[in-house]
Amino acid sequence: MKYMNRLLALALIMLASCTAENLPEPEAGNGRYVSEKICNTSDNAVKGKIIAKFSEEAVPYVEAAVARGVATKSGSGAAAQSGIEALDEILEEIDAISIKRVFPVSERFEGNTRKAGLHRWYSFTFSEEQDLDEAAEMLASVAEISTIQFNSTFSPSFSQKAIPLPAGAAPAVTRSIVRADFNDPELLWQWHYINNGDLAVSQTARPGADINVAEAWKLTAGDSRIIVAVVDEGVKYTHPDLAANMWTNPEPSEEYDRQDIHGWNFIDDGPITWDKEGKDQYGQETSDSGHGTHVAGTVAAVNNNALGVAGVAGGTGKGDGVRIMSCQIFSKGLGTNDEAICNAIKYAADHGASIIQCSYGNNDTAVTSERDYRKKSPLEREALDYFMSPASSPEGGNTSDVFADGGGIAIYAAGNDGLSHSNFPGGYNDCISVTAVGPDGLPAYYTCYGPGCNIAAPGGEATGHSGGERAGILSTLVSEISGSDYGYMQGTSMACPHVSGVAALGLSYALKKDRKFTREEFTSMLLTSVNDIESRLEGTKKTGQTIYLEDYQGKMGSGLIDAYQLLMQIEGTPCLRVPVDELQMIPLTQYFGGSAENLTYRSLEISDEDMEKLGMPAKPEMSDGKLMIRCNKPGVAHITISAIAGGKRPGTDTVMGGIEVTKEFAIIARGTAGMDDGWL
Amino acid sequence: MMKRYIYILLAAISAFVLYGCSKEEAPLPVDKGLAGEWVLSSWNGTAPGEDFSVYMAIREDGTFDIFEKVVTPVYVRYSGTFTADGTTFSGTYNDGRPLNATYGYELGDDGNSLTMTASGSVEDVCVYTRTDIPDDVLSASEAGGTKSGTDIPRFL
Repeated sequence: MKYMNRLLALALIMLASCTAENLPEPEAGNGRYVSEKICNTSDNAVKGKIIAKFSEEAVPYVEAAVARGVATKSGSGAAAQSGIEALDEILEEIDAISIKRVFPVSERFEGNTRKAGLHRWYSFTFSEEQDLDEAAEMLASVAEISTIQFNSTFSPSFSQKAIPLPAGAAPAVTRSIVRADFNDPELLWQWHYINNGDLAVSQTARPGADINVAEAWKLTAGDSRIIVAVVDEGVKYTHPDLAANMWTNPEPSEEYDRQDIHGWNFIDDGPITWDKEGKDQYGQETSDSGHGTHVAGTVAAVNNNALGVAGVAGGTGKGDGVRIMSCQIFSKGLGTNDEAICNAIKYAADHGASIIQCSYGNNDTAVTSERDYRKKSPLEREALDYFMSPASSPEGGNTSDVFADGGGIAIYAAGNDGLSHSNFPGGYNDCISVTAVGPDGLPAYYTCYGPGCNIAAPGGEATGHSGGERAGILSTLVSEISGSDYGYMQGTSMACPHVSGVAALGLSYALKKDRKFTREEFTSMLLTSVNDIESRLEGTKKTGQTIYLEDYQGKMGSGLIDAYQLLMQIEGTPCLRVPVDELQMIPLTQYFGGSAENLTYRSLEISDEDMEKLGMPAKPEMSDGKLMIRCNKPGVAHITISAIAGGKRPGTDTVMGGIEVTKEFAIIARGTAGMDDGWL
Repeated sequence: MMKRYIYILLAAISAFVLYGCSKEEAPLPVDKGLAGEWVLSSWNGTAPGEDFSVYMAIREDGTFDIFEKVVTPVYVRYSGTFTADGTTFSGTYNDGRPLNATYGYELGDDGNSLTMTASGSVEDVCVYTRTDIPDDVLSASEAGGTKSGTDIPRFL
C-alpha cells in the first residue's frame, strides 16, 4: 500500500509537470547555460536564499512536507525536504536549511492568497557559501518549479539628507500672507501646499505652483476610513504630529506575534522601527533617515493641532485624518529586497489600504518595458496585481471596498536620476508614476521624466534657490536622528506623497458625498486634476544643475496635481454647452485639466443616434487639443473622449508610455444666447 | 391771454399728477400663479436625468433665483427680476443682462406645471414642476462668486 501511494504520488507529479505553465527552452548566455525559468540575475541578491514558484499541482506536496516538519533542516543535520523527490535530491546537495512560504499563512487571508496563486511562492534558504547561480540552475531543472527569482536587494534610491527645521525660524517674507484654516505654525513654510511666491523660499517661487489644497480643505481634510500604506522606512508612529493619524490594526495577526499594531517591519521581521543604526557591506556606519516619517507627514500630518506642519489629508484636528499604515521595507539605512517589498504590498492589500505610497524604485535602467519588468520581477508584479485587484475577484486581492470595483491604487516616485523615463515599478502601466517640480513650478533638476511618468507634484529643490533648504519639502522627521521633529527633504520621493495625499483627500470627499468610483474612473479623475506646466517649458533653468526645459516638454505627465480640481470632479461632471448652428473649437480644460490642449487624444466616441439628435453634420473631432463640434439642433448627447496622461502613447508590453484616461460627459446644444450665464 | 396761460399750467399740473398716479397704480405685471419653487422636469421632451439640473424660485415681488448645475459640477445661483403678464415672461439678471430669451408660458390646469417656450427660431421648450428646493441647493453660491460654487459648511 505504501508503494502504491508513492506510485500515485509520482504519477501525480508527472501529470503536474505536464500541466505546469509552458516553460521556455533554456538558452546559452555568457558562455553558461541559463534556464529561462530564472528571471533575474544574482547581482546584488541576498545570499543564501532563492525564491521559487511551484506549479499548482506540486504545492500540496510541499505543504505536506511543511506540515510534517521536514521542510526545515533537522537537528540531526538532514537537509530540508519538499516531498518532491527530484527536488529533495537538490536540497540535499545544497544543504537546504528551510523551505518557507514567501507570504506567510494567515487564516483570515488564505483564501485570497490562494486565489491569487501567491501561495505558490516559496523561499529556499541555504548556506551563504553556496553559489547562488549554481543553486538556481539546479532548482530550475525541477519540473515542478516554474519560476526562480533571486531575492534582489535594493539600495534606498532617495537622497537621505534631511535638513532639520531650525528652531525659531525667521518669519516668511511673503508677497502675500498665507491664508488657510489651519493653525499649524509651520504651514507658512509649506509652499508646496500654498505657494504665494515667498521670497524667503526662492526668488523664483511662483504663486500657485502648489497642489492647491487650501481651497480643497474647505470641503474636506480627510476621512479616517481611508488607509494609506507607506511602503518605506518605518514611520515614527509616536511622532506628536502623526500619532493621531496612525492606522491601528483592529486585529493584530498571529503570524506577526500580534505585534503588527501600526504595520510591520518586513525587512527585519519585527515591529516597526525608525531610528536604528547599522553597517553596510563595506563596514560604513549607516542609519535610518526619517524618510518614511517625512513621507507620512506629507500624506497625513495632523492638521489644526497648533503643532508643526500640516498634511495633505491630515484631517481637521478632530481625529478625521486619513490613516497611515507603516509597511516598513527599509531599516538602518540599508537596502531592502524583493521578499520584504512584496510582503509589505500584500499586507497593505490584506488590511484594507486603498493607496500604497511608494517612494522607492528600482534603479535597474535595463528595465524599460512592462515585459522586462514582468520577466525580471514576477513576484513584485504579482503582489502589485494582488493589491490592485479586489478580494472579491476570482484572482483575490485587496480587502478595501473604497472603490466601486474594489482594489487599490499604487503611487510611485518616478526616480531621482534625471533619466528620460520612469523608474520601475512606477513605470508599470497600472502604477502612477510621479515627477517633481520645484517652487518655481518647473521640473526639478533631479527628476526622472518621459515615458512611464504620469503626473507632477512638488518635490522641492533644496539646491540652487535663494531660500536654500526652504525650497525643499517641509514635513515630519525623526528627532532621534535629525534632532528635530520637522525638516526638509527633496526628491520625487517627496512629490509622490503629495499625489497620494491628494488621492486620499479625493477618496475622503467621495465618502462624504456618498459617491463611489471604479479604480479606473478615479485614476482618470486624479490624472486630469492638474494645472498646466507645459507652457513654461522653454529655455534653461539653473538650480542643482542646468537643465534644458524643452527636454521636458510633454514628459512630466499630465500636469501639476490640483487637489481642488479633484474634489470638483468628484462633485460631478459638468455639461459642455454648445450653441447651435455654429462651428465651435472648445478646449476641454474642465474635463482633462490645465494641460488639456497639450494632451494626446486617442479616441472620441459618440453614437449615431446622438449625432442625429443634435443634427451634427460631421462627427466631432479633436483638433489642436480642442474639440471641434457643430450642432444644428438643440438637445443633449453624450460623448466619450480618451487621452494619454503622460506622453504621446499608452504603455504597451514592449514600450513604456502613459495611462489612458477616459472622460464621458454630456453636450447640451441650445439656441438661446448667453449660454454660460444662466439657464433662462 | 393770462387766462390761457393759467389753463395751460393747470392742464400741465393735472397731466403730471395723473401720470404720477398711473405710475403708482400700474406696477410691473407679475402673474402670482407662477410664485413658488420649480424644478426643470423636461427640456425639449427629454428629462435632464443625471446630466444637469435646474431649479427656480419665483416670487410675487417680481424677483427670481435660478439654481443650476449645468456647466459647473456644483449648483450656482443666478438672481434677477421679471415680469409675467399671463402669457409672456421676460426679465433681467441682477448684473443687468437680459434673460437669454423672452418666454411664452402656460401654467398647467392644476397650477403645478409650468411650460416655458423661448421665442426664436430654435426649439426650446422647458417644462417645470412645482417642488420644494432642497436646502443644499438653496445654499448655492451666487454665480461668479466663490470658487467653491457652494457655501459648503466649513469646519472651522
